[in-house]
Amino acid sequence: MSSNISDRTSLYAAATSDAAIYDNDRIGRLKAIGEDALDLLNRLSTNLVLDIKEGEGNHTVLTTNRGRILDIVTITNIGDHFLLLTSPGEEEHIQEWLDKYTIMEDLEVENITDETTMLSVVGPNSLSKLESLTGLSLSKLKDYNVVKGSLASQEISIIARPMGSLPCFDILAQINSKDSLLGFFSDSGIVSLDSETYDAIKVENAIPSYGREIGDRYNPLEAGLIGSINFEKGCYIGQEVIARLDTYQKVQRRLVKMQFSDEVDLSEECLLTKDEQEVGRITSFCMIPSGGEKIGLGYVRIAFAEIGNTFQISGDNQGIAEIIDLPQLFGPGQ
Amino acid sequence: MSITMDGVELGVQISEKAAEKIKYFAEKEGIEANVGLRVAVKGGGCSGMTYDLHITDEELESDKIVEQFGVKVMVDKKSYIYLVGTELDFSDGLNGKGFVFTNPNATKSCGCGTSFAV
Repeated sequence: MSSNISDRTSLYAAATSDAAIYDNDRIGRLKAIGEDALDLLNRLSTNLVLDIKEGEGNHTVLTTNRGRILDIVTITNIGDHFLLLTSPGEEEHIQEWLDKYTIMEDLEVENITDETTMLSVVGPNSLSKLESLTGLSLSKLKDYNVVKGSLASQEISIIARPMGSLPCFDILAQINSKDSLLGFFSDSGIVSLDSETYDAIKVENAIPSYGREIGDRYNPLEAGLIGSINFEKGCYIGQEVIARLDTYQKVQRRLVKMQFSDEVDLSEECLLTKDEQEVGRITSFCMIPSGGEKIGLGYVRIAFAEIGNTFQISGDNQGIAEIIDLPQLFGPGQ
Repeated sequence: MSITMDGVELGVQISEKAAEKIKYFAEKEGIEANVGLRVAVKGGGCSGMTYDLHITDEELESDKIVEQFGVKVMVDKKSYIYLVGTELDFSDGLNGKGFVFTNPNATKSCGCGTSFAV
């Protein structure tokens, strides 16, 4: 869905000062069943996910044996299965990856993306609005945990999955519930975000996106994901490389949030230079609909990754980029 | 399915020193007859696959079993394809690594030697 600037300004205002809903069906959803599900996931990813009890959840990063990011995955214990949320379009890749390493383990992974729906309610008032609509108490729902309920006579699960500092709740249901849920939210006065506005909110909150800031070009330390790395849990795929990078401080670059003097055209590669020396590149750009601020994300060599540092943007984008934050999606480390 | 070389079925081979250690650990677990070592592969470890060892006296019908130095080495059929031709030794002493695998199927091994990639 596309919308004009004034539409996006009001949508952005709703999401950042009240509550709005986004059709997040593109997020991959896998159903994992089996006694060894957590044991295997713990051996394949960076965070300690051995003990996720019913109703609980956690984030982790699947990594390759070179320590590169395969994907950030949210694991939630729904009760009779574990729900894995992947990046959009990555569910088959992750399913294949898990299948590849399932040798003796009791684990079956099913792709349920098409048979389910996922709507995300985002905004500072999302909690109170959802509590009012569902009758559920959500104030004690910890991040990445899940609670079951019903909405518009449809069975739903709600996962608290904040977008940085902005509260966000994912509502999961069977696909045939989608129209009823969307209609109910619309009747309740909760506006629907378009993808451009949602993406701007993601960038503003420094949420890395697959293919731009996360993927097998980067390792979790570069991507500011240290809060999802447990350095004491023991071996997992890529652990040796990640531990070495951390111990010997060999991280070469870092994800940064920037503001720009001019619009950035990402249809061509946008390099960042300092004294005519290449120091990084821009990976995401958006204009904040309310004030028109030009912000984005990118990677900068570690020696230059400090708040306040400025760079020249190469090519036809002759503007200036200034680092305004060093994001860490899951916090500063465990 | 069996994998052979020059008409000889390949399996997991163990050294005499490894066999002695297996018997030692088996005795500690109260197993004195039909001493067996189950060798398996699990997903995980630094490089993707990791070795899994268990002392046992229980054989499975589908196991590939090779008996050497009085020890039965049992490998389940799924692990067999990752382990065929592997040699298991024991490295002792102050700087010893314990059980050491030499796996011809491994394209990469991690520093501690318990994980490999194929």
